[in-house]
Amino acid sequence: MLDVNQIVKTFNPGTITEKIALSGADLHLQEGDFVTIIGGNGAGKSTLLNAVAGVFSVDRGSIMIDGSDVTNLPEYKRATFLGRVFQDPMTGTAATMTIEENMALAMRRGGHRSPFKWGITSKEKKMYRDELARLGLGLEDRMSARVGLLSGGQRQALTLLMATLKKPKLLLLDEHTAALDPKTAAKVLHLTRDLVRDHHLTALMVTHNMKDALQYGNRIIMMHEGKVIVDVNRETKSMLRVEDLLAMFEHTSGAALDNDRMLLG
Amino acid sequence: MELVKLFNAFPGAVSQGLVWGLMAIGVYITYRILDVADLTVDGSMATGGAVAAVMITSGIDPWVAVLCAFLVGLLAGLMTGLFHTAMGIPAILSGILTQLALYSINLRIMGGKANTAVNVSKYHVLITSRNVRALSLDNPICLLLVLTAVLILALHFFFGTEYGCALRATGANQNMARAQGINTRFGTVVGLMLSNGIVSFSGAMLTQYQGFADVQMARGAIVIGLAAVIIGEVVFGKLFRSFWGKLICVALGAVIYYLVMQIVLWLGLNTNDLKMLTALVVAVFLAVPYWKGLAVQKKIRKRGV
Repeated sequence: MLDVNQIVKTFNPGTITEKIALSGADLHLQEGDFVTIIGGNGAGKSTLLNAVAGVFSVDRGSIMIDGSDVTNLPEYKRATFLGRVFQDPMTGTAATMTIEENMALAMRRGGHRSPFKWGITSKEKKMYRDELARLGLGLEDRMSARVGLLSGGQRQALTLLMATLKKPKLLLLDEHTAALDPKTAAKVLHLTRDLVRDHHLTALMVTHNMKDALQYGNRIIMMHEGKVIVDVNRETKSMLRVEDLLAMFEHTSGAALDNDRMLLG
Repeated sequence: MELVKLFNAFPGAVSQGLVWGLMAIGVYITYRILDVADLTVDGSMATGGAVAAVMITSGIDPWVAVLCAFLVGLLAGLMTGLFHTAMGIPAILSGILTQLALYSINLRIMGGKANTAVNVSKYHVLITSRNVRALSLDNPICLLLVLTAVLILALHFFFGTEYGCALRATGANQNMARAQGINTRFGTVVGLMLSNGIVSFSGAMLTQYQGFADVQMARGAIVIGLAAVIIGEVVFGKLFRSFWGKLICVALGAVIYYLVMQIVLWLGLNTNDLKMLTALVVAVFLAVPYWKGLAVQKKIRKRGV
C-alpha cells in the first residue's frame, strides 16, 4: 500500500541551521497495516509523515502509494490518497466554517470541485448527522455551528472523522493526541482504533506514548537519526512490554531514547 | 437653511456609497474570505474607470464597457496572483507592484492623458450624478441598488458551490485546504481575479457617475474599502449571520462611510483633510479587536491567581 524507498531530506542545506531530517528512510506497508512510529527528539517521525503527505519534496528516494509513484506530486494532489490528522487540533479544520461545511469539504477530497454544484446537499447532511452521532460528542445537533467554537478534543475527533469520511488509501496520524488531555486523548485513540477497524484502513501513527504504541496497531517501527532502525511485526509486538522496547532501542541505536515528551507508563 | 444643505447632499452620498459598496464587496473577498490584504485595488479601480471612459466615449454601449472593465480587472488580479504564487512575492508587495504598473497602464488606456471626461449629454451612460435627486428610475440609486443586489446574490451562490467552499477553506486554513485536496495557490489567484474584476467594475460605474475617469481616482481606495468592510461589521455585524447578509453589511458600511464624510464636511472639515480622517478612522477600527484582546487579558490577570 505504501512504499517509501530510501528517502533523504535535508532542511536548510549549506547553512548553519542545516538539519538532516531523513537519511535513507525505508518503509513498506501492506494493506490493512496499522503501524505506530516511535523515536527520540528529531528522529524524523513527523518529517517522514510530512514527506509522505507531500508537505515538501524529498531530496532523494521515492514514495509510492498503492502502486502509483507520488514522489513528484504536490501536496494537494496526494490528498486524493490520504486522510490526515495533525498534532495541532487547529490545523485539521477550517475554524470559520461550520461543522457540516468542513465535512462536505472532506467528502469531496480527491474529487472535482465544481463552481456549478452546491458545496453541500441536504442528503449529505443526513449522512453527516449519523456519522457525527457515532462520536458521542453531541456534535450532530450543532452541525451549523462554526468549528472555531469547538474544543480541541472535539476538533480532533471531527478531523479524524473527516479524514476517514472518504476512505483514504492511507491514514496519517501525526501525534494527533499529543495536544489533548489524557482522558480526551484516550477517547480519540479509541475512535481511531474503531475507525481503522471498521473501514479496514491502512494507517501510520506517530506517538510519543510507548504504551499507546504497544497497545494500538499491528506493527511498531522505531526511528533514529532519520532512519527506521527497528521494525516489529504483529507476533513479536503482542509479547513486548515498554521495557523491552526501550532495551531494543538502546541496543540498536547505541543511544538512550531521549524524547522530552515520551510517556513510558 | 444649513441643515437643508446637508440633506441635499445625502442622495449624492448614498449613490457614491453604493458605488464604493460594490468596490468594498470586492475588497471583502480578498480581505475577509482569502485573508489577503490586496493593494491592487488602488490601481484596478482606476483601470475599470479608464476602460469604461475610453469605450463609452468611442460610442460603445455602456453595458459592454462595464463588462470589459470587469474582464480587464480579472487580468489585474491575475497579475498580482502570479506575482504572489508563481514568483513567491508576499501578497501585500505583489499588490503594490501591480498597482504601480497599473498607473502606467491606465495612462496608456486613456491615450497618455491623466483623465478622460465622459460628457453625460453626449454619451449614453448607465448612471450619472446629475440625476441624483430625480424622482424617477433614472436616479442612480435605483440601478445601483439593483446591481448591488445582483452582485450579492451571485456571490452568495458562488461561495456556496463546491468550488466556492474550497476558496473559503483556502482563506480559512491553507493547511487544511491542501490536506483536503484543494489547490490553494490556484484558489488564491482565482480569488484575487474575482476581487479585482468586481473592483474594476465598480470603477467603471464611478466613472459614469462622476462623468470622468482619472488616474488618481482610486488613490487610497483600499482604505475606503476596508473602512466599509469594518464599519459594516461593527454596525450591522450582529444583525446578519448569513453570507449574503455579511455582504449587505459591507455595502451599507460604504454608504455610512459616505454619509459620515458628508456630515464632517458640512461641519466644516477641509476637503483636503478627508483622506487623513479616513486613515485615522480605519486605523482605530482595525485596532479595536487588538484592544479588546488586551482588555480581556487585563481582566483575567486582575481576577487571576
